[in-house]
Amino acid sequence: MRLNFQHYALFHAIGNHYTAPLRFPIRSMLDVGTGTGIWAVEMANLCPTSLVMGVDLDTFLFKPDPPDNCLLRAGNVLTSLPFPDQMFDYTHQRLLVLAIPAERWPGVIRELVRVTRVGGWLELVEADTQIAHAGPATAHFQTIVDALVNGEPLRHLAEMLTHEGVQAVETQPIPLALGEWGGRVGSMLKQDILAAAQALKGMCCQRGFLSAEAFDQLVQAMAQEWEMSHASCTFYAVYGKRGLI
Amino acid sequence: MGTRPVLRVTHQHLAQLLAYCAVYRSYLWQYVAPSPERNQTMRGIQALQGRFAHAYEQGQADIDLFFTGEEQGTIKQLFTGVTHFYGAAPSSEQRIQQLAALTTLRFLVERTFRQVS
Repeated sequence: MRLNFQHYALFHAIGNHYTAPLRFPIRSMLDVGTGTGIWAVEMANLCPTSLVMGVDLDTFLFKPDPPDNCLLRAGNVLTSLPFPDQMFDYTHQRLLVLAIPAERWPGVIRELVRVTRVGGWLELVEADTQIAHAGPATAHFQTIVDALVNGEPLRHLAEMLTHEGVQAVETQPIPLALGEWGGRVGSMLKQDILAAAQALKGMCCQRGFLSAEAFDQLVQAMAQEWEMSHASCTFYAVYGKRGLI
Repeated sequence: MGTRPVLRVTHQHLAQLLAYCAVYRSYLWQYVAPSPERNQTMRGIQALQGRFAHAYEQGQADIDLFFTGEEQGTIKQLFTGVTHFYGAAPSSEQRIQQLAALTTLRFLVERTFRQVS
């Protein structure tokens, strides 16, 4: 399962399941866009006295039999999360750049802030849609990604959080090697990002950017480029505390 | 049971310590390749940052902090790392001020730790 693999790749790359300077114990946490629920399950195991909720649009991917202190539920941050105001001490969301249209980001941030209690932490982790130090195949692929995904909001996450009353906001850029040249983590991330690229194949072919065969060739060329040119990508961890209303 | 050192710090000291934690974590993420050792250090600094943030929010002029042996090691590592980071910056008035503030606080903290060990 790609999402679980991605979770472990990020854990080794970032060094923890979370980047905010949390102080335990924490009563309740929320993971938005939880996917399989792997993050919520891991946090529930790590913090047995916390209640960890995970929500996602699709429930069919959820891990079966999560721990007793972990609940996985259907929920859509684009409409309204199924929780009252200020329910969680810590709200976490990551890697939803492909799922949230650019113009919806301010509303999403507002919704995340709404369900976080005053004094609670909010954390967002996203990957830049640009790949650095690559070559022509990656540059070609990049033009397609740029046409399909507007990555601009990712550069303004801190501003958006601050605008909604989140305080002490810190943005931590985390550049990571892509490929075998970057060791185990680089290799895992390469595999993950190539799989994410494959997820765009249908849309790319449908919109007439490339044929299926040309797409596969481009992805293969890109993978080779990353090894030769020591490509990297940057993840952004942004976190802060909800201030007084 | 050994005695744990009590570090009395001001609100300003806590602001400094919080900034050092953020700077050092940023340094580790940007310049040190992921490894179990790096990640363990990062988690230690992250936990300390959480403690400092909590103490800072109390808003008291002075506050007493207690540290385990492991936390003392992490704080020493933090000071060493941030000293290297600031020290590597090009010469400037700002760099001198940063290093002076860092050294003053480092001296206070390490003296406290030495008194007990």
